[in-house]
Amino acid sequence: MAKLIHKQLAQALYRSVDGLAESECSAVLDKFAEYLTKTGQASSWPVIAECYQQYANQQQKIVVAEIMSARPLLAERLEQLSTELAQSIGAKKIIIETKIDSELLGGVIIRLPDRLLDASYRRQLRDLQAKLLY
Amino acid sequence: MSDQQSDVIIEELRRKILQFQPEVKVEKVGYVTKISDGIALISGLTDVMSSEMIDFEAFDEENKSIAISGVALNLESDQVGAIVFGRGELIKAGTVAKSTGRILQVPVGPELIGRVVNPLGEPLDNQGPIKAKIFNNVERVAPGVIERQSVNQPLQTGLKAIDAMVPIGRGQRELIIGDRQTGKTAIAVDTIINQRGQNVQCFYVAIGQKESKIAQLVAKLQEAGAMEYTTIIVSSAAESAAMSYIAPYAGCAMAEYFLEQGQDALIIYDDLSKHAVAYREISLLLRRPPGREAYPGDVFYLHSRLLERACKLSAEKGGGSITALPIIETQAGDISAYIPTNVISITDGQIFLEPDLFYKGLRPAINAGLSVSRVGSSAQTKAMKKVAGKLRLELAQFRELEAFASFGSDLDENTKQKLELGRRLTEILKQGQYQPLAMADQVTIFYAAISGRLASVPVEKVGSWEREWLSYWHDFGQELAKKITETGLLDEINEKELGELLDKFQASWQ
Repeated sequence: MAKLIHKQLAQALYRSVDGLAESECSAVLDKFAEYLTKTGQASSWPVIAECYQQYANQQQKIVVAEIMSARPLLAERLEQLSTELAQSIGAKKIIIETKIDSELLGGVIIRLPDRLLDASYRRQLRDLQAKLLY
Repeated sequence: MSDQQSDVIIEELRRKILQFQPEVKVEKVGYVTKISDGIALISGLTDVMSSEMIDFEAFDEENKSIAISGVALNLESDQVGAIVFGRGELIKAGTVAKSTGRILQVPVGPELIGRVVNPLGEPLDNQGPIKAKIFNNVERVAPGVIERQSVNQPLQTGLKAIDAMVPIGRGQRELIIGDRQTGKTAIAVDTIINQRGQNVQCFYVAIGQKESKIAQLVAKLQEAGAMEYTTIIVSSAAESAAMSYIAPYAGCAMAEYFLEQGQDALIIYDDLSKHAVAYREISLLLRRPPGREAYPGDVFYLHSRLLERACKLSAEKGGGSITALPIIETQAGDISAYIPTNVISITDGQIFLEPDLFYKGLRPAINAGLSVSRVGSSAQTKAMKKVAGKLRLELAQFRELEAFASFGSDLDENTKQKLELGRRLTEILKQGQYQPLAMADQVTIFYAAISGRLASVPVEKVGSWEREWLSYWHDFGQELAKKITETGLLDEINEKELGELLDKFQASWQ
């Protein structure tokens, strides 16, 4: 039998545990672990787990957003951003990862899997610079 | 600067700053997940189109933002495969890749004439930036049937063997094929040199060649004054496969500018074998399934869509043309390999060069039997047609007789004469490199041969006879040369005059 690639394994695992009760899951996981050992892929478990996480997020419409700002944002501001983002991109849940980058000067940059929302002062100043030059 | 002036400037700046509206920029992006061998795999970029240009936001060693472009080639369900131009080593996993909504473009226009550029149109010749005003798409659909007309104007290569036997017309695609070191590039370069004063813009696309060879070629063209109407597009052996892959399309886009202006252009692709190899490399790295000789399935389309862009436009469309001279290098004379057969079937004929002939000293080493031009003869000038028709026939008979004659020496007078003439004809088809001849000059030489005036010249002296005749002709035949060049005719009056001139020369020639 041809070896399945990590992504396919992760998808298969997701489909087999989806909708199962927690107690039933362990049996499936045992079998999965057995299969990995038998096919000599046990060492790739971290990669498979990562693929699993991505696939599960995609299926459950959970989006990971990275919010970069010059200074730490207030919790309620993050909460507000998260709800508004979820609404605008049609996600059920937004997982927020924050990052501080003082070079932004102010404002935020939000990185989504396929979009980049740039509302930083750094870019606005660059735009202004470009406008003044040309 | 007076205070008043600075006030005006400050006021202007203030106005601009007040007008400025900051806005949130939403960009469709993806993130590089893997980069190796000039191929980037990108996640995200959900709306990217095939062949769309992608900008990578990379940073150089000093952490300065540097724009690197790429082109999306593989659109898969969860990732995009793209080729990367330029400094791919600066792209890392996680680098932001933005879709631009544009197809890859190169600068075009008269600003590029006389320049040496890379396939992205960036200068390589230390002559300053190229201030082109117009940009054209690298990939374009070739003109359709209605927009074209048949080839009707000659493109003089200046090589006797080609202009007489495999004539090339403006808008034709003629393949130059042969083993390494058989003079393929020499034919192309001579053709460029001969376009001086012919109103033909020349483009030479060097794909996967040694930089030393390109430097030599540029020097030679400069020496011959041919860089005044030539652009050289270089993707050397040191460049990535992606650069080699787009080089011929970029060159064609530059030539198309002149096509649209109703002008004539000549483009040389040197060579398409290396182009196919570059594309094979990209395709294999993109994990496209390999086919024959490990080339991908669309390698025919790769070259057909390129060569289809060579054309002669109709008078309503301006009547411009692009003549393409693709070059293919064969291995041990094998023209039945995959790429040679493909390109032979796409082009309107081929010039086949043979190492055996080359080493015999018959240069250009054109194999007259395997070389053909399917459309060029309709574009030949009447004068050339008149002498060349007979020349071809005589040469064909000579080749047949020569094979027979080698068996025995008992030949009748007629056959002997044919053999003698054939030997002289073979001799006059020899020509040195960088010595292209004008059409009228060629016509006189062929006329002398087929009218039997060379019979008294020993075979080994035909070369020196030709040189001396040409200098005599340039001295005393100027009027007639002008007439032949302008009308393209060798009518009875011209013929008589030429005959008399030849006889006079013959009488003095020893």
